[in-house]
Parts: sequence; structure tokens; C-alpha cells
Amino acid sequence: MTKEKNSFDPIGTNAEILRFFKQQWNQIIDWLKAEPSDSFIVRILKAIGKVLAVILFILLSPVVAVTLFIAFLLAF
Amino acid sequence: MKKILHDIWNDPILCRPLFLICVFFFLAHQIAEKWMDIHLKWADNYLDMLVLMPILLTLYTVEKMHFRHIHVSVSRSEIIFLTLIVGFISEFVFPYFSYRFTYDLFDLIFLWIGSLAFYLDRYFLIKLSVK
Repeated sequence: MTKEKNSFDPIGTNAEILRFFKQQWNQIIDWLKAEPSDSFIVRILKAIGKVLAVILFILLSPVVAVTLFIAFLLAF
Repeated sequence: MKKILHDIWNDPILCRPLFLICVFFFLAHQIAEKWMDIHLKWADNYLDMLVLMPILLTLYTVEKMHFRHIHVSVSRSEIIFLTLIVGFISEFVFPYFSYRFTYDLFDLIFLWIGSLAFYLDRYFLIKLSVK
């Protein structure tokens, strides 16, 4: 029995697993590119991306980290 | 670096009455509590939470403008998420590390009042500067 091309073997090597996820990722990207920019799913994904960017921006702020550290020390 | 410090020192954001009042009350309370051993129940419990967000958001704005060079005021979503993150850390993360921190709903209410005060201050500042 011959193995079907591009099929996913659950007991495969790491390279095969990575290739599988890359293939799936490319399929998602292709599907998103084909979607119109004002469609519901694209707008939802843009909103989620915006929220994550704001959270990351805040969490990477040294001022926030230092202020919380001082607040912790003052009450400790 | 010297230029950045000079710019920060001359930044009108740091001269806003809300920021100065909050810093004054924060320092006065810390001095009274730690050095003079004067304890006011309400202030010991909630004053720090009330003044935390106006101070933190002002410093965050200064960092954004002078260190990240983004010359846009703090947005509404940034205020909301920063308040959510600070509320979560102070009320749910800190109690794991010290028994002095306890979960209190009023802490969160005062945190949000502080954020609202900062938002209204920015809103009226922008509104007045447009006029």
C-alpha cells in the first residue's frame, strides 16, 4: 500500500509534524487572502490583533513594571 | 539622554493638576503612614488605589511620548486594558506573594474611579485645546 502524498502520519518525525502545521498555516493564510477585507471574520481577527497589540504594548512598558514593583514593595 | 530628561521636565503633562494632586496625596499618605505612624482607615485601605491609575497613566503617557516617540495621547482602549491588567495583578497575583494583599472589590472600584478621572482630565484637556 503506497502512502498518500502530503498525508499526515501521527507517529511521524518532528520534521513531518512541522511540515503538516506549515501546510495548514499556509492554507489558512491563502483562505484569509481570498476573503474580502470587510468580511466578518477578517474584522474579528483585526479586532483581536489590535487588542493583543495593546496588551503587549502595555506589558512591555518598563514604567508599568517599575510602578507595580514599587507598589508591591510599599505594601510588602 | 540629557535632552530627553530636559523634555520630560518641561512636559506640560507632568504639570496637570490631577497628576500633582495625586502625587501629593500619595506622598503625604506614605509619609504619614510609614514615618509619622498616623493611620487613617479609609486612606490606608483605598487612597493608594485611587491615586495609582492617574499617576501610572501619566507616567505611561510620558514614556510613550519621550521614549517610544509615539506622539499620540493614551487611547481609551489603553486606559481600559491597563486598568484591567493592574487590577488583575494587584488583586489576584499579589495576594499569592504576600498576606498583606487581600482581594477587595472596593479596591477595584477605586482603581476604576482613578482611571475615569484621568480619562476625563485628558478629554477636557483635548476639548479645551481644540477650542
